[in-house]
Amino acid sequence: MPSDDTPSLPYAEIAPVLLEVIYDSLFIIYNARFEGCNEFEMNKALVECALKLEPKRSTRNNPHILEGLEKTDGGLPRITRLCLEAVEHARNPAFDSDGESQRGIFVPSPLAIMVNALTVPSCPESAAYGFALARAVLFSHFKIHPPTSDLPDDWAELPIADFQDAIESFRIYAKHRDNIHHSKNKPARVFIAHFLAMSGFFILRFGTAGRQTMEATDAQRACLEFLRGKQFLRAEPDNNGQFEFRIAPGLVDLPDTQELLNSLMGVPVAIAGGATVFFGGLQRAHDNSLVMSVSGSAGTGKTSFALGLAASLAPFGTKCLYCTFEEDAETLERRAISLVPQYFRRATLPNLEEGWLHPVNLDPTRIKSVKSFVLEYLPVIKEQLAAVMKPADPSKDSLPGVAPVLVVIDSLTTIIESPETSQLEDFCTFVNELKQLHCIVLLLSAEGIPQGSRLEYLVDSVINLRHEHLDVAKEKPVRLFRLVKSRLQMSRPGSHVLHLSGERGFRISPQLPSQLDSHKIHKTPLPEFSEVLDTLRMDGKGASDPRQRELLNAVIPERLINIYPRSKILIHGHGSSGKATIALRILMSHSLVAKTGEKAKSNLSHKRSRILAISFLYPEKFYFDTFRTLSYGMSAESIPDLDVMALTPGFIGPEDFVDRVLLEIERGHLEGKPYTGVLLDGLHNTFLQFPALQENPMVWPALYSLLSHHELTIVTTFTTFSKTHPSRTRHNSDDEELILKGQLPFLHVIVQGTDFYLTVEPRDPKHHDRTFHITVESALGQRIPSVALRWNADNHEFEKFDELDPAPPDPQLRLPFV
Amino acid sequence: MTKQTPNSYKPGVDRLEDMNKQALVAWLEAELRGQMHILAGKEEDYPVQAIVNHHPYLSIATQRRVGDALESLVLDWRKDLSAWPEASVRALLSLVAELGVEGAKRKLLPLVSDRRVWGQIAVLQPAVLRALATLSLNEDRMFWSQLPQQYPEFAGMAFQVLTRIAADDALQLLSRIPDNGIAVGSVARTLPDFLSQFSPERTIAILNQLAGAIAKLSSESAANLKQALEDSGYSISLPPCPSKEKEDFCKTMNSFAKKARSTNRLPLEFAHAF
Repeated sequence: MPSDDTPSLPYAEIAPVLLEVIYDSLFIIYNARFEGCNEFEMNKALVECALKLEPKRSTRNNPHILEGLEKTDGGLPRITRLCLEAVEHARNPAFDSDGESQRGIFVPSPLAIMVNALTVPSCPESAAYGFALARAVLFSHFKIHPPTSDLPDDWAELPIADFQDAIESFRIYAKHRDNIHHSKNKPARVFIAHFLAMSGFFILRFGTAGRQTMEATDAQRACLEFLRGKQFLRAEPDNNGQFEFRIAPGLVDLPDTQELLNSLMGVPVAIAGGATVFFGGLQRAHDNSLVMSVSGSAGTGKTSFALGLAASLAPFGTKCLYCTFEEDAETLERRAISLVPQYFRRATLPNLEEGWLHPVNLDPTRIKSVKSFVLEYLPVIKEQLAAVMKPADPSKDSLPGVAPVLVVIDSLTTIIESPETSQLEDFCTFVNELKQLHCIVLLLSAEGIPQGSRLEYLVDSVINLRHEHLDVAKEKPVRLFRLVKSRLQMSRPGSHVLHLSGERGFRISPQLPSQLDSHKIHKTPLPEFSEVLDTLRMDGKGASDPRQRELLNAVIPERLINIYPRSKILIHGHGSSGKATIALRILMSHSLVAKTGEKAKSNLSHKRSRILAISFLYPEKFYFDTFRTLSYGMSAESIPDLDVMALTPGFIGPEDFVDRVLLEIERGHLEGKPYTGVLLDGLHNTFLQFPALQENPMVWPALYSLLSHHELTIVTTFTTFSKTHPSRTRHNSDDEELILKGQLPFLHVIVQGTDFYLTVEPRDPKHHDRTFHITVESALGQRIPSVALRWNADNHEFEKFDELDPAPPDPQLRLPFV
Repeated sequence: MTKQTPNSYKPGVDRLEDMNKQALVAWLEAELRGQMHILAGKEEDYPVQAIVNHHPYLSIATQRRVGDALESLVLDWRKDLSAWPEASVRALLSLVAELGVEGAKRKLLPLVSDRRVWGQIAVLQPAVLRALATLSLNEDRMFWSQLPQQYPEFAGMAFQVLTRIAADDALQLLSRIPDNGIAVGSVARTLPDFLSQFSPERTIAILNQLAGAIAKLSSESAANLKQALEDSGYSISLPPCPSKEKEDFCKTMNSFAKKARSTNRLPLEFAHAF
């Protein structure tokens, strides 16, 4: 057995019971589905099952895992919501049916749900900890591990080439949405398939045994047996191969093989943005070493980066030896504390109280030369580390460490600046020895490693930090994280934005192309044509007004236009016409089955709508007040949830903005309450108050593209400037020109990206009331109606339909791009 | 009786001669627990000194029976460590050492090797080791050589014993003296006497070897050892004093190495799944 002080993997205490709850919850859900049980009874059983997690009243009680367990308001706990969502998400009858009946039963990997449950929703980067644990569970279960220098004796090594072959073979199946067989004779392939399922790329499919298609009842029995068997918690190897794998419904392809390799073998990066930049993980050399150089002038954040990396690795049991020539040990320790993420203090992440940081203060004035340093100190390091970095204990609960030792040298500046080349040579000897001790070595310096030097060849990854706009008063200073080289792995080189402080602390906001690239395998869901949002129709009394029928030649459209869930809508028009309210009304409306007009099945009780309002205009209170007014009269269970992200005018950059929106969408998924609608309110205001967003033409296409990978109805509001409506010109023409310079192409992008283009304009300039006409300028797959819907902005009502003037509009007044 | 028994001891000696082993065990236990005194002596002689005083006048057979009885009592205490008062255990251990009950050694050694049990008798640890030290012979050198690795605080005592039972092993121990104040102090007290048994040439070689060992110690420990040697007329040239940085570095590396591990541990529920 390993000694008691072997560091545990993250969440070791809660993970077994959590996985048990997940298996049981999935069993309840599928059993209820097969038996046709009602949703209420199923939810009751699910809540009871979740209570096995037993909330504890201590500071470190993993509130993110236990969320909702102590509530008595009838809401479902987070773990239950995650299971329900995962099951919903795994369903994909469109690709697996023979006309009417669904053939396969799709089941998400319980380990994938466990990883999500262990992730703190507001910090998606914390997924690294759950991922490391789930990956270790698979390694242990199959006794298979990628090549490493300290593999237990009775484990099999998974050669990299075999992994690559398997992935490419799976990719062919996945692209054709074929089943991937589960062959007991090839445990390595089964392991890889489970690894992909655990990562969320595959789902399990019951319905075929070998080449034979199973009867529906047999498939159901196999599915329930699998869930009852609790594969990764019990001794049985698996369910006799009664299931296969299939690519997850939301994906068009598997990630790049190199990215999967990084996930399989690399050190998971628990730094926000780190997984995107480093393609899923930090890859180490064959001897488990990794040498990284981080350069940058004073104040660019080298030490903070090193400490932040060390803190993020601490829950894996990584011990950091921090050799500093610059700061004293106490200051370093104090700085390190400030870089520990807040959620560490509430979660049962291990190894945080046991001295993960070991600072050593070295006085450069007393160390005569690098050689004397190496001669004096290296034997001490070797003697001490050689004893601990020995091969893994072949006992059952021990496996190769995630990243045992991190050595930071802060900094090399004096060595690099030294005129004696031997200094650098001697230092190379030192680094080489550390590599042989399987260490991750971080070399900090003001200047980069000299080109052509031996040290340059020893360094695997090169990072350069910069602090820009420091001497420009009107610009906000920005830190840049430049990944120059990563020899051992595929990554996303280039400049990314680095943050050291602020609400979320130490993090990287990847550049827009990287963010786009990281989502390229995700499908873009089309609007849900089988359903229609119950909106843009007359409210209350107006519906039965006989004069209306007469006016409209007895053809009363039920709605102005049929808006499908998951479509993109632009509301463009007059200022103060209540566009945000119209948008909220659209997003708050429930969906109906297009053919029958009945309430759609997507309105399951656990699946309450959730709206994210991103405001460039109003403060949060405006949306909550409007939302409250609109909710009046709605049944409690049909009122959606609303979250508001009100952006303060200023210098938020494109990377941070997109990153922040995506983080919020991701938070929704991880909470088990995904957003169903997004309101982008007042986009025109970016031209006045968000200059950094205006300057980058890629922001909006990128944001729309990224949001379109999620199942969201997106409503954008945009106020018409007077230039597009000359009749309302009151402004200084120079200002107008300035604004229009950026506005027109911007509008073009938005209009091109929308499925529905609505305008809101005053009904009649002679009327000074607050009634407006909503007209349709373009609509997906439908004729443009010849009527307008009258909107009363004071009482938030769609009052009636008005016949539009049949005369062609003045071309001067036509909106562009339609 | 092997010697002329003093008159005052005769009644006591006669009573002990008449006792079988069982009776001796009962009497010794009562004597050690302070419940009865049947032997002649002053107040401060009880219980250990009075028995030691009478012991030489007992027949060989009775001496052996007393030894067996003491062994039984050691075993008795080991079975239930909390059943015996501390003072009684100290008396028992002293008696075992004074009377040279060799058989007791085998019964005391398991106490040292079991960390859990050893922790339970923290206050009695020196007494147990003293008893073992007294009873140790050359064949026990392995035990004393390895003791400092397990319990560095007793390295001094180990050195003292080894100087008596295995001088070469004592020399080897000198090259790996743990940096522990108590241990270093104890070595410092024993060292001059130990060195006096060697020829001048050998002494110089030993001092050179010692200089290397001292260099690894903290400056305070090194100074103590050097002082003890100089006080006894030995001169030793130490390598230049390591810098404060190096000392701090070694300390940090030491605590770092204690914490760092090359493996991770998986929850048993998962590890037992296969």
